[in-house]
Amino acid sequence: MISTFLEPKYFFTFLLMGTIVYITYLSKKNSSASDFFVGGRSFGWFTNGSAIAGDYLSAATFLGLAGLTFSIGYDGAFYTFSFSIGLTLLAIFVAGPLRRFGAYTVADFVAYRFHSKRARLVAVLVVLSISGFYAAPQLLGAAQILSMFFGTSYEFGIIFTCSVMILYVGVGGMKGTTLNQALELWIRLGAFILMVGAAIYGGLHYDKILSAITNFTGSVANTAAFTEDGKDIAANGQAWATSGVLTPNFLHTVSLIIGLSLGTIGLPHILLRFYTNPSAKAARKSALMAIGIASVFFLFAVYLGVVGRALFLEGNLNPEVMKNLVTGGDNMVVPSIAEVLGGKWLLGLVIAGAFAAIFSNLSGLFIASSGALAHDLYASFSKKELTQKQRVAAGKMAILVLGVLYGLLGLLVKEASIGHLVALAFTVAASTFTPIFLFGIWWRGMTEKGAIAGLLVGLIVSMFMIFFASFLPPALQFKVPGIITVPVGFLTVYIVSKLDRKVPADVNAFMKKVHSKESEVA
Amino acid sequence: MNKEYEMTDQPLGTMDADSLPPLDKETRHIMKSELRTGIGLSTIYYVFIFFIPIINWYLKDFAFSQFWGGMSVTWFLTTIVGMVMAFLIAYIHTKRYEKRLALYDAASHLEEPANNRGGTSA
Repeated sequence: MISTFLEPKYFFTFLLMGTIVYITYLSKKNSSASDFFVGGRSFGWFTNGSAIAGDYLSAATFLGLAGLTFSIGYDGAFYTFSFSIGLTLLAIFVAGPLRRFGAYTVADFVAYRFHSKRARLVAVLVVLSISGFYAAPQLLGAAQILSMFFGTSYEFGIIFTCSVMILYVGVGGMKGTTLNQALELWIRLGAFILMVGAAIYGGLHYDKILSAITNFTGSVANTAAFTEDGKDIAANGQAWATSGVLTPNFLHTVSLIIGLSLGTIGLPHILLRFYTNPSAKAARKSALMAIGIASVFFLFAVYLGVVGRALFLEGNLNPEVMKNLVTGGDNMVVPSIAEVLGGKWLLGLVIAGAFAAIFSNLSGLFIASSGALAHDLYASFSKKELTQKQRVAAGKMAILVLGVLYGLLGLLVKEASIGHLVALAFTVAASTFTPIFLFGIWWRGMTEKGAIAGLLVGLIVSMFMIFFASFLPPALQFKVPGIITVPVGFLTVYIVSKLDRKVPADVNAFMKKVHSKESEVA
Repeated sequence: MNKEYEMTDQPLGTMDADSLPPLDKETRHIMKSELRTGIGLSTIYYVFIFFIPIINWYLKDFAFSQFWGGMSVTWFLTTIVGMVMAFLIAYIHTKRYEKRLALYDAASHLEEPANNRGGTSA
């Protein structure tokens, strides 16, 4: 029993779980809705910046991006680059004004901007859709990782992860979630820093290994035992180092950039984080901190993918690692390299990092969706005025409901592609909330009807273009259809608003609130 | 008609967009200056971002020529310069914003004594 516990992967995972329980216990006192949903707006830029980065850098980024670079080369690196753009745009156009506005949820912004319960309802629908599409692949990833490293069943993985989330977010609220997210981010980054340090120390310099990979053309030794046809895997270094695998032409690449870069601005769990700072200045610094962390993280992810490829092509890793790299899929690349570079202890830290990534991202989605259910639906449509205690209780009940709903969703998507679902979440966000927030903050002419039409049309068009792409002509079939859905979202808001022309009578006062320096500290 | 802003989802009335009075001078100035900085920086950023797929698809020889060891020009731009740019653009924006905030604070402090001149505080 003790020897099992001292095995690094169990040791680090239990250490992570113990820390989560301790932080959650310390943050359990949530006496008001402000405490539960926005952590009492008390987080400084360092903590919140770490939490934003923790929220943004999911398991798909921690494990998947290095894996993608390992397998498809330059296109994997370009995909990583596309993820790095959005936070910067968010920092420039949305972070400060959103904090000055200072509400509880994303739907609050839409409802208060137009003084409309209808707009709130539609916004809730979109929040739940985006969060659902984002939560499903995270749960899928969690179950796969549990299965890979601890041999558990898929169903157990889903139930376990949802149970942890119910405890973690339900008890700790935004306070516990933020502190846990910040800690979890540094576990992941710590694992990456150690891996990068070990790789450089081992002489795997970037220019040298890239050169070795691009010059390698032929069969990879010692892989035949793990392939279906019993032959060694063929590798072409020149093809690996050039583009054309992920996107077949220039237009698809532009579509990918538009979808992923603008999608970040509309992700509810990221937007929500800017309400938790004490001031707009802190919100902007948090965003800057998150961008710095994310940039370093993405840089390391690509480098580690290259390191993995170089080690793999040498073909002299131990058979178990070679098997994992051939048959384990993209998610096995980072753990495999960790084992090669730092043995079982580094592998243990990486496994804990993978869980940290899943918990961190899922908790953000749980808190954003619980706000939509408890604050936007229950409290806003309740006939009587709820006390602070009742609002917190409603938030906790919403977490429980979401745990069950997301759990069912996770069980349904067992065979789905993680990348497909994540792309769907980004596309829906880019085509719905991004136009609403950009126009809402910077254009007085947006009307309630324009906003509702934009949200609905953006949601429907983006879902259609992803789920029913096969019904469209080949020229309109995109992996990330941002090039079509995002302009449709923006144009719908603009055209309907121009036709409607009925703007809120206090729109000037709204603009003063979100832009004026007087509302710097709310 | 300049109504006070109230955070509520109860209907508070609408007006025709054409009859909207202009924004007050300070808000207009802040929005204009923030938007100018934001659009300027994001234009620079997007020119850089789209430069990469343009060279990848239309100037392949240049994009995939060796730059440093085995690293091609486009690999360097995408994985190293791209990450630095994301931070740099946000950093410049934050610094400019802090500068504007400091100027605003200084202007507010200068106005205070002028407002209090000749009177006593309540």
